[in-house]
Amino acid sequence: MISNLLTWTIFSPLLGLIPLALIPRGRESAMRMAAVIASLVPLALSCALFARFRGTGEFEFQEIVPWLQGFKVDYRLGVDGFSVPLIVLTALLVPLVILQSWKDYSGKIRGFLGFLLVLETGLIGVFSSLDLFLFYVFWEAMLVPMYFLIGGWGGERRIYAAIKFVLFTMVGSLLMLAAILYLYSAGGSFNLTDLYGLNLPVKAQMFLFAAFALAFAIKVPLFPFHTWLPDAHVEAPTGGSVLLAGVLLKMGTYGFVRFAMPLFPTASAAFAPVIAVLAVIGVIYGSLVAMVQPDLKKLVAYTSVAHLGFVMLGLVSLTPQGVMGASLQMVNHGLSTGALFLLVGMIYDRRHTREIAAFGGLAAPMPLYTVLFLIVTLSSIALPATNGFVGEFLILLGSYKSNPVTAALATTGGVFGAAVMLWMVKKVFFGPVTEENKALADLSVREVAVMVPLVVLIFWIGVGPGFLTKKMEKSVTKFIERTQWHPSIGQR
Amino acid sequence: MASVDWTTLTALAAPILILLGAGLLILLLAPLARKAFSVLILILSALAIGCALLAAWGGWLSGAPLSLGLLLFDRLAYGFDFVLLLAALLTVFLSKDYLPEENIRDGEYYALVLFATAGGMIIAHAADLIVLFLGLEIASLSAYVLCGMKRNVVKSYEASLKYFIMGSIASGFLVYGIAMAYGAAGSTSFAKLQQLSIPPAEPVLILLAVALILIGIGFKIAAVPFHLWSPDVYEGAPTSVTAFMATAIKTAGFAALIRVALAVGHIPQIPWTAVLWTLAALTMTVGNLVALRQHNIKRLLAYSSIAHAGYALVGVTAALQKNTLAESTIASVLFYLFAYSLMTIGAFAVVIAIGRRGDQAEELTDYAGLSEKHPFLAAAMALFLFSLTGMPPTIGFVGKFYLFSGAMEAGLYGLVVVGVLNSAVSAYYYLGPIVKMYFQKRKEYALPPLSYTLLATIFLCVFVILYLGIFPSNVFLMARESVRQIVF
Repeated sequence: MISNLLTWTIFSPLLGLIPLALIPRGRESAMRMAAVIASLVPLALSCALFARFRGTGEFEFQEIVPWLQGFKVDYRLGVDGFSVPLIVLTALLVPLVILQSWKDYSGKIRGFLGFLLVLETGLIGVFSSLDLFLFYVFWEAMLVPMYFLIGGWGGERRIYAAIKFVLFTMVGSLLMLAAILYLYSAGGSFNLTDLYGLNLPVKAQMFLFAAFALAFAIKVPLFPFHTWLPDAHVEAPTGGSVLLAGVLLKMGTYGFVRFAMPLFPTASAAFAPVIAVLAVIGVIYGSLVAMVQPDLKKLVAYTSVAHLGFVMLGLVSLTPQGVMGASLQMVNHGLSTGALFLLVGMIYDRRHTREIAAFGGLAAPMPLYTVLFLIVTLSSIALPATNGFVGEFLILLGSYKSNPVTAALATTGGVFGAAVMLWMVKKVFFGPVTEENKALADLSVREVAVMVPLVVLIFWIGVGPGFLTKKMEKSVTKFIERTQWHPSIGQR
Repeated sequence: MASVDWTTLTALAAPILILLGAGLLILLLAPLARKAFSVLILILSALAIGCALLAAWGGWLSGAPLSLGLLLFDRLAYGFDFVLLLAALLTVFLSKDYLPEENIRDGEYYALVLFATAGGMIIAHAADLIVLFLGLEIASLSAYVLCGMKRNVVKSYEASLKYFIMGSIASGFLVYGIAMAYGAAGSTSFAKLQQLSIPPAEPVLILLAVALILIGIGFKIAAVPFHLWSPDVYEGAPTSVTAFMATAIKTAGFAALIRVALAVGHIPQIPWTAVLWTLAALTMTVGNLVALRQHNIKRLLAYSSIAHAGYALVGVTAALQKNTLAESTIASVLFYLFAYSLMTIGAFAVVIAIGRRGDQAEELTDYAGLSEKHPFLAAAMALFLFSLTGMPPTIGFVGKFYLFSGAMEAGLYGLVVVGVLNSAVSAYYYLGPIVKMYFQKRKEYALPPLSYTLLATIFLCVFVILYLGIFPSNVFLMARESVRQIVF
């Protein structure tokens, strides 16, 4: 079992489908129990993975099994400093989501839990594939459970949102498939480590980078490909939103780190300014649009656009600090935005509305909730001593080095973002208590338990990020090395 | 041509002969058919197909390709036999409870299915254009009759007549083409056509010949712009027959196309790439775009099958790129036809399971809320549709992957992009029934009792689609082995 830890981590969520299928209709708490236990297994495995991961910069825990004979497709897994934290993040969020929705969806909980577990397998698979074919399989396969989660358990316009989500993703990813096939015919392999440093003509690189980047930019989402995101977020059930914001968006940024940028260094250097500009627009635009949202979930969704803009900015700065910050911020955003969506879900369970105007003065009836919400908000707006600060600071540091103007503009956007969040907190938690909010119950033990791990991590990364950065460092260096390699002019 | 060695011929052609024999026997038994006999006939035809599969397997294993002048026996032919026989077998299982419901006489029905399959196999084994034509006619004539078997249903008669008229015109084109080919090569045998001098003495004749033959085959595989008959026919025909036509008859058409392409693919004057490129792009695009607006599940699947013929044509285009044959690409076409047959028959099986006499339940709205009443049926249908979309980990994805990677290697970048964008378009209409089944509710729901054979068929399709979606290697290698030694 230790010898193929990654395979076990990927597929262990599927083991939960067996009890889920066998438990008779009506025994819902048994199903929830089974799902929580099933999702704790990959969490434990991924923690073991994190502990045993040495951070050498090379791909560790590699597993290679020939798969499609005649096409040189392998079942090839491996992780580095970028993927391990994201795997842990995924494995952490799923049990929290199941716990958060403990009281919801009675009558159709079986499918919800089942799709959640299938989704987890797809997500972890995406982060651990080193074979382009395998990666694509996980990337696409993950669409199906997400589609059902949004469409089956979502809000009023769920069908529209679900289809929009699938179609947006598919257009991008199918063009990426064409690019993958071209890479195979040019490079003779689907193996990522073989393809790094492949001497591709510049023109081909441009097209290929564009195809890959489109698929990832839609996922991130980079402005102007973000329009699916607010719909998907608002309509998705809480659990869906948490995973969507927490992990699915990272598939996009991760795609840039793992595939688009190191595979096509010349093209990514050429496109970097464009992406930087789009990222800055995303930061500012996301924050400004968030400002006018009447719906809590939509507000958080738009701040996601802004945060992911920061991540992209860090990546394309191609400086060690910027990339490290981006990599950290991927995890941070997963924690803080995941936590925000969980908290919004908790208040939605009580009031069945997410209208900001419907709330006010929640601090009085729900002090515990208020404290947790404030902590998460502060992390989200990058207050020092929280995780968000470490990531954003590094990103700005790195991107200032490569282009001071974009860095300055992004900082402005960051200020807007902070304003949005604080303004929202003020409206929801402070001021006079309205009648219908007076009797709201504070968080239950279960709900606090859901939040504790996230809050602990927020401070842990905020105060001592070394345990994470230590494991990422070498991979960041390696990434920058790979992106500096220009076939036309040789090593720079 | 040496005198025919009947022992060899019987052994090699056993798959075809078994089907023809069983078909005749069933026709003899048909007048006696009563309740008890109908099961007997089903068993008989299933048994015949099973034996034919075994015989084809034996032929495939024996491996030595042999051409007898009119018929040839290479692994490619046996490979097509497998696909055709599989489609026939699944069709037979689908039909058991569907036929009494629709008042279709089972004797003739099963016999015609067997004959049509045998016709398709004759195409696959043809070593001569005339034999190819013969096979095509056997398959088509059987299909014309099968289409009109829903008695006292005007739509079914209309389908039959329409198919007959259009099919006859197509056959006319084909015969014309064959005549021209005879004029060009002095023979209709593929071997002679293959040896045609380069450049041929009379390029006009062979060009005309190929153009006319392509039009004829284009009708049979419902390639755009020769597709207009197919939605009406697919809608009007009994559903099990639609499933059979969409898979077996289409596969037979592709067998004809590939045989012809193998014979005359080398002639430099024929602009294969331009013609097939256009045909493939049009077929995919029109099929998918028109499918977007369909409300009837059978019409939707009809247009989807047009689109899938387009995907397969991408493979044929790639195989003939630069007028040289890429063998592994033909293998991917064969694999795709196999994959496509499985998913399509599966989808039609669900359509049959949901429909009942009097109320056909063929509208998409009839699928609302199916997931609550019949989780298995709904899940199976969703899987078939996802597979048709080309979502991993299903056989549909692997099939498209093989096709498109072949096309990429042949340098058909534009066509691949058209193909993948078409897949994205198709996602929209394939999601339609899924939305209905899973996300919409319905007040009352009366579903006919499900028959075991139907459920078994669906289950088999589900299993194979998933299994081969994850472990496709062996089947693909077998397909590739099939195109190693082609004879003429």
